[in-house]
Amino acid sequence: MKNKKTLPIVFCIALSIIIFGLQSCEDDTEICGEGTTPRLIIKFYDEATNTEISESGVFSTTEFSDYAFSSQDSIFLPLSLTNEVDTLFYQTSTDATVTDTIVLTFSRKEEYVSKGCGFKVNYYNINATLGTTSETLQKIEFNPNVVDADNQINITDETEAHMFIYF
Amino acid sequence: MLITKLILQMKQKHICLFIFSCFITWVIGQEKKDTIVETKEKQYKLFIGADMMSPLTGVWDKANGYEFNATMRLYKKIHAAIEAGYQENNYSKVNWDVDVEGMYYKIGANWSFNETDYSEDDFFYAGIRYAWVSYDQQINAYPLTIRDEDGNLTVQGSSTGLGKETLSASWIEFAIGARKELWNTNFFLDTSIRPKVLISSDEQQGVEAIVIPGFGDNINNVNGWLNVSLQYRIPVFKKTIKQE
Repeated sequence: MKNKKTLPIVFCIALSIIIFGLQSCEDDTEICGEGTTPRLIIKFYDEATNTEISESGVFSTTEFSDYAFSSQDSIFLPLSLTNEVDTLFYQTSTDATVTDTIVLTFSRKEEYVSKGCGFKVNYYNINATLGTTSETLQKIEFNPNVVDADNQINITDETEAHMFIYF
Repeated sequence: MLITKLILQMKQKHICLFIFSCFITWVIGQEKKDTIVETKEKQYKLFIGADMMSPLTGVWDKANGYEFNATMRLYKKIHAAIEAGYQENNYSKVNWDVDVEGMYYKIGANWSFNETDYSEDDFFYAGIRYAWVSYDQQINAYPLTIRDEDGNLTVQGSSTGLGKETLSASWIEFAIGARKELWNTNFFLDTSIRPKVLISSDEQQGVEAIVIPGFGDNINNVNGWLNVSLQYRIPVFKKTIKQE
């Protein structure tokens, strides 16, 4: 039986073909799912009634400009990846003359997430000051749930709103 | 070779069926030896070889290196096996730029079956190895994933890296393959598939092992590759066995 002698060679060649086929499979660990750099989540409240409301307007920061939103109860704003200070500029519309400002200060720390996402930036010890000349924005507050044991406000995820803005 | 041509012409889903039927033919085709001629002496043979895939992957991939192996039949169907190699590799997907290089070692055993009547050194085998590596890893750049106000995902590359660190890892490697003498010489071709399961690895500043020399890309702690080894047979020593 001459065939028997060549069988291991056939086996080897067949294995090679299978392996090369498998190599073309996609690696799902290269895809980033959850765990990106958290954005500042702002929820809108009506100061007079202390209830949630939907608002419209335009936000700009050093990171982006003229982010217009309409009738939303909350917004997600990316914070600076390079500075310790970020200023939010609010206008009721793009052609409005009055600009309200919120100055945020924080410290940043990068945290490893996964192979697909790489790192994210967490923001710690956040302070926010509403500009004294603000007209539309009446008051800002942090969500008590994001204040940690040391009485610091940290933004490490996007599970709930971090800041409440009262109109 | 006619058989090789035949395989390449067949569609992929038929290949498995073909191998399976070949295997069955092989098993059924095994004839019982009528008389066993007992030899008083048992020949111990050392097989030393080099993996041809390790340097070859450098042609189309960033993985480059070498690997040598040695096996010896110690007891009946059991063969001791050691492998040692060096690999430098790079991972550069998703804005990563990770360089690794290091020596790795594997120790284990093969269990041979279906030896041919023609030679006891031609067989199929299944084996297991414990492998470990100590390697240098340099993270030149890493990704930073952000979302914009509309929720669009952006992956940025970092401007600075995380430096160099010496890390270690270990894994279990399985081997399923065959060895065949080449044209009545002392040279053998040994081919095996190598599924690998990572059992330990280090982190560099929180970053899990992404690529490991000898293991390859870490995809959910598993990987697999092919060994195609050219081996040379050296008779080492003879041992007298009592005739039963």
